Amino acid sequence: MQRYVAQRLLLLIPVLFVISVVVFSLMHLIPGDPAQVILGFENTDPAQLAAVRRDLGLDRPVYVQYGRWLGRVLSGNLGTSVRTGRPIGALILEALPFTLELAIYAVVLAILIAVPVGTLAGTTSSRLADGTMQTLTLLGLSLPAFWVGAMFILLFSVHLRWFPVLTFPALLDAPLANLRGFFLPALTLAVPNAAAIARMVRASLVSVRREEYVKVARAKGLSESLVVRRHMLKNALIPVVTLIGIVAGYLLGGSIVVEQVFAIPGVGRMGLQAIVQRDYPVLQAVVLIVTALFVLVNLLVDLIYVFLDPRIRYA
Amino acid sequence: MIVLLLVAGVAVLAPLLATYPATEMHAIDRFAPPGTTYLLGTDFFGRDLFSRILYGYRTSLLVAVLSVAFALVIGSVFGVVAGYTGGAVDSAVMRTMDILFAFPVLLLAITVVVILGAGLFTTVLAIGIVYVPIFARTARGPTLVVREHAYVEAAKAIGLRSFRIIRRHILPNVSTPIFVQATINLATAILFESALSFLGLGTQPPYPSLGLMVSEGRNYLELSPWPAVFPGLAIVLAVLGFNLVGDALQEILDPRLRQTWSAA
Repeated sequence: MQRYVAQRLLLLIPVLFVISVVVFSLMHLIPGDPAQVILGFENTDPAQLAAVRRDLGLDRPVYVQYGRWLGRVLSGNLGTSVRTGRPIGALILEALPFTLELAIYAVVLAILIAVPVGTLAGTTSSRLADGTMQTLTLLGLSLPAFWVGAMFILLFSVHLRWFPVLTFPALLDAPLANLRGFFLPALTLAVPNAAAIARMVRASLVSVRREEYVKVARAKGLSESLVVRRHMLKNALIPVVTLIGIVAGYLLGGSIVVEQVFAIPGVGRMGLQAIVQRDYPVLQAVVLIVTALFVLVNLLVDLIYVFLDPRIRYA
Repeated sequence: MIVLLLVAGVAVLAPLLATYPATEMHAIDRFAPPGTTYLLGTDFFGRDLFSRILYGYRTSLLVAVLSVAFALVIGSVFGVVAGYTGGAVDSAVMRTMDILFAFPVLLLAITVVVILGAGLFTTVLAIGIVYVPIFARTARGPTLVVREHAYVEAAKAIGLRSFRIIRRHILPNVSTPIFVQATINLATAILFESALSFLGLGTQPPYPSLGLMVSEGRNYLELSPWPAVFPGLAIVLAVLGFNLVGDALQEILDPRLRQTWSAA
């Protein structure tokens, strides 16, 4: 177990290294001169351009630039926004709580929807009920998040007025208003992922329902609900945990669209605004932070999986 | 399958079925409701939604098919070569694929678009790159199994070249999972294309794209919901069609799933 954890942590180093190289290259791969982009295309003063290039270190060899950039990033300095002049680290810290809350809220909602639906589909003896669930979950997987979000706003905010539009107070200041404000965005993000998790729950339950230990539990005279809860779900949920983790990672990236639909000032929307405003250092930082979080969440999931499944733990 | 044929047919026959040119504006008929003049109503510029959806399908399906084809070819070549060769080549290829997997998919696609500039071709490339590692993994697994079979050993023994062995013996045996994967990815590619267009990073106006239409329509939800509702429904229909076919194919072609069903 410890060897496996150490191995996984060691593997993280080359992955993070390559990610850092790709993210660093972003500034150099974007068409045009970064200094010109920062100064604005109307400003063509060679002296000013040279000064910006010197400030950014663009006049140095690429490997020197990378080394200096990596050194700064590792010491927590993500640079400065060329549009606002503010430190990017502070901007990320302001936006990240919105994205994280949205992702966590969506994971919770997805589990609350998926586990009962998947359990029902995986334990029912009615082929019609199972088929209906399968089609419904396929429908869930076919819904574009940006459209679902727009329809939720139209129905629940504009017509029924059940939920406020574009109101996201801080969780600690107004917890209930916060949870209400984030409900529709989180549900939007949760729907397709709930469908994916429900299908996994169903598939896992179908695969364990004829296992010997389930037959023994039934032979002992346990009620069907107890057999499902104690014996089937407990084992069937192990692979589901992995999927939930993968989903959690994807939600970090997927939240870009939902943040845009609901105008949530999270990291994803910040990245999109950076693209529009050609604020590439901010975009670079957003890609770096979201990808690093994604990798860490995936690592955490793998470790939880090993912890949950004794077959891997003792292998 | 019927849904899929309907969507594909509509996309191919768009010029014949469209009741108006997709970009033609009718200023006095802005936000017209669905009716006999405009089947699904009009948008902010008075453009016919029905005709724009037909052409939007063309864009979505074109991007989806091209991006999946790109990923299928590149990914399968990587996967088959890695699986067949093994050793250092296998490690190098699959670790590169792992790196691509390390990026959140939408963020990776957005990054590619930012670097190359928004447009139809870039969207194809962005989605294709995201899918390459999926096809590489799908192709590598069965290749590892097939290369151990006696007929592959025999082909090697009689001195056939690797290229010929891969083409004649490996590819036919790994094509089924790749084909199923392609069907599933066609569905997600349509979602991807529409999401990128919704964010302003895919198909550019005035060309019709379903995602772009939802993006434009959502600004006027209170005035008229139809410009956002119908293109979204059109996306759902197309994606659901591909998902249903992919699901059915998986069940038919994977004996384990069939057994699970009969055992259930």
